[in-house]
Amino acid sequence: MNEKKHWEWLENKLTEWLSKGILDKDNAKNILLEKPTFKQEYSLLTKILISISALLFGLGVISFFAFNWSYMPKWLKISTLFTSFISLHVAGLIFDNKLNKKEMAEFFHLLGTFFFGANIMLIAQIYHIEEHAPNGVFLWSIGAIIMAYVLNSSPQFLIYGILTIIWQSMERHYDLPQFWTLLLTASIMLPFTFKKKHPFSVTITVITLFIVFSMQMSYFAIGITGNLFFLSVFCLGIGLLIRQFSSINLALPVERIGYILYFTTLFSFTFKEGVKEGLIVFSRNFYSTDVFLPYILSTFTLIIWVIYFFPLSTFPEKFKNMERKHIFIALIAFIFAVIIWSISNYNIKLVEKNDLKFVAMIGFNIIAFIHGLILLFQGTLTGKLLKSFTGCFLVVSIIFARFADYASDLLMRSFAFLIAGAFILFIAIKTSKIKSKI
Amino acid sequence: MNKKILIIIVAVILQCIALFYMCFQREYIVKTGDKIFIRTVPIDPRDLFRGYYVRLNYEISTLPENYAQINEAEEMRKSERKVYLTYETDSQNILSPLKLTLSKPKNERFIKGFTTYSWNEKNINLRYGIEKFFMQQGKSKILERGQQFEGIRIPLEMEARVGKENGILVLTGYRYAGVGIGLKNLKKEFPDSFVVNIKIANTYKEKISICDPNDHSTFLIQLDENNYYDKNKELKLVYTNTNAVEYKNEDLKVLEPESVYEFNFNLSLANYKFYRGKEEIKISDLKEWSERIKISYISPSLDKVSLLEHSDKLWQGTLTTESFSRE
Repeated sequence: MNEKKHWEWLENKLTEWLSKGILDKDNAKNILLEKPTFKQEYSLLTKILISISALLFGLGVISFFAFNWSYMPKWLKISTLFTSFISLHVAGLIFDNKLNKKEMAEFFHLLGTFFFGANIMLIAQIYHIEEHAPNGVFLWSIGAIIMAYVLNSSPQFLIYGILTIIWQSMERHYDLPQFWTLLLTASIMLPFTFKKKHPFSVTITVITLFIVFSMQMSYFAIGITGNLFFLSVFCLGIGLLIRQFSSINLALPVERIGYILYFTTLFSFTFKEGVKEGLIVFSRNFYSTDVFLPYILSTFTLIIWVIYFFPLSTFPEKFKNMERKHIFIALIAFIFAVIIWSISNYNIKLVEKNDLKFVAMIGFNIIAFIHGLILLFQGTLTGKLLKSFTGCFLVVSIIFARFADYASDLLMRSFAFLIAGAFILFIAIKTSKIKSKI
Repeated sequence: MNKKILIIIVAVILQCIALFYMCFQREYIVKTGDKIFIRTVPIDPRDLFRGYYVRLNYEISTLPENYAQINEAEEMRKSERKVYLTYETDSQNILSPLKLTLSKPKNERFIKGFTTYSWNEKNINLRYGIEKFFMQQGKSKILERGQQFEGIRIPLEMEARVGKENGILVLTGYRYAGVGIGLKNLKKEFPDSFVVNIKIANTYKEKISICDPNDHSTFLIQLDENNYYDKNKELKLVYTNTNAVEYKNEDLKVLEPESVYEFNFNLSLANYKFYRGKEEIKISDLKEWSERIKISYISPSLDKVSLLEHSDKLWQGTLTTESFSRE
């Protein structure tokens, strides 16, 4: 319960206790004097409704001008657009400072940002500009992020994230990888997230950076899942650091995305084709970006983990206090992946290509299976349903996948389904019992 | 005024400056740039946010690699390379390309463009940032349909202004050429030779003259190099008539307003030699669908016909048919 809600609950209770005679009036008054003044804030639902409303208004205006009224002179179109854009921000300022209506101020500033985008597109329409379409969206996103910083506004920040993803997907048509865009997006988003310290902005930042990174990686035909795997362990390390230096609330979005990515890519490596596409590519040029990039990611990941455990003398205590010790399995998987990647890409003649594929597949099967079992037992013993579910899902998925690969007998399959079903039922009952005890 | 309001005002002003720059840059080119016309072939669709437009493909959107220097051609076949196309204009301000370079030309008129990927090693594909012409919803249909006269397509010419310093193009309007060329393959009527029927339409409200000597030497056969991708079958064409041309009075054909001049052109008798790879072939041997040619009417310069009757009405410019094959 947050502090504001806590006070609301306490006020209700004070009335109740007064009527029952548990508390006298003076005591109740003294308690209420302790109540801090809360800043007027509006709910997430209001924020979302305001954003949707501004978006619809914006689209309406864009479509209105997109009709391209041929009898409307060029100067009239341009001056109407400029005037509307400025008026909206002025209205936002008036609602914020004179009328003290924060929701309406947010709405008008958001609409102003949509008008900025509309202006860019319609000026391009007026002058028939088709030079490099993504630049228009990029310029629009810069407008949105400036307003996000100036107004300290999460909806404007969300608009920036969405526009950045649109910008990157448009750039994708031009067949030129631009990793600087990832650095640019990170350097724009991270300071805001750091300043805001809110799970919503952390989630937007992580999702945007992840999509921008994936789009850049999609320029290369190979190693995409490998890079995403390295990225996932990087996210888990960042999550640990945020837990240490800030709060669990801020770490959760990063960790959740990290875990989703980690388990998905790890499961793909349990297949021969998966590990081949993701990690094993023989005889590549050392300096080509697609081979070199995972090393940059791996180095950053290691640095993050070392920072977490620095100084090393604190390691035993930190390890003891860690909420999720199973995260070390991810670190082992990461080191194993780096070794496989190095052997395959730099032509180290230790093993043949097919043998390496087989070794890697076996290794990842063992790691994934152990990780699944640990999650399953920890989840069952502590009554944590999500942990039990993840572990159970991973273990059963691996069993079924290998079973489908190596067994074709229907009777055998029938037994496997029955055993797996009974196993899941047992876990569910056990977790439920422990949870009800807790 | 408190600090926060001031910062918001500065942020809004910054955005206004960005928008103003977009307008100012283009408006400056519209006011001070050179006026040219570029020939196009329009096709349709629409943009979700920016309304309806006509997608334009220009004659200069694909240029043979010999427009570029040998050491630059390979780089130009890659995507998104900035290039400069030097040009000249004829008496009707229609652009003719001269050469493509990667560096900005000095003391020459140029337009700026970007390369797009080309699968054909013989060509360089380009875009100039003027491939969309936005129009009011419904009105774009007029351009999409194009202008026809007695079945002959009249070329659409986009009016543009070129920034003198940067070569940026800004579309400012369009016009139809007034004169169009049409072609019909007469394979059924002349199965043993390669004969085509050529029509030239005058849609102007006044008389014009065109030059068509007996050997039709003002009608040049050209290869459509877009279609050749097999080096062993690559076509080559050599013009064999090296005699100096002297035009006579009867070579200038007068076209009444809104009328058509037509004639049959036996390509088998034209002064050309064709080679498929190293082998010399007859023009009637062009059997494959990909072996396509086109015919361009190129008007002679005024000084060559100035003494002839009706030379004052001579239409000057170039007209090119769509590409066609023997089959």
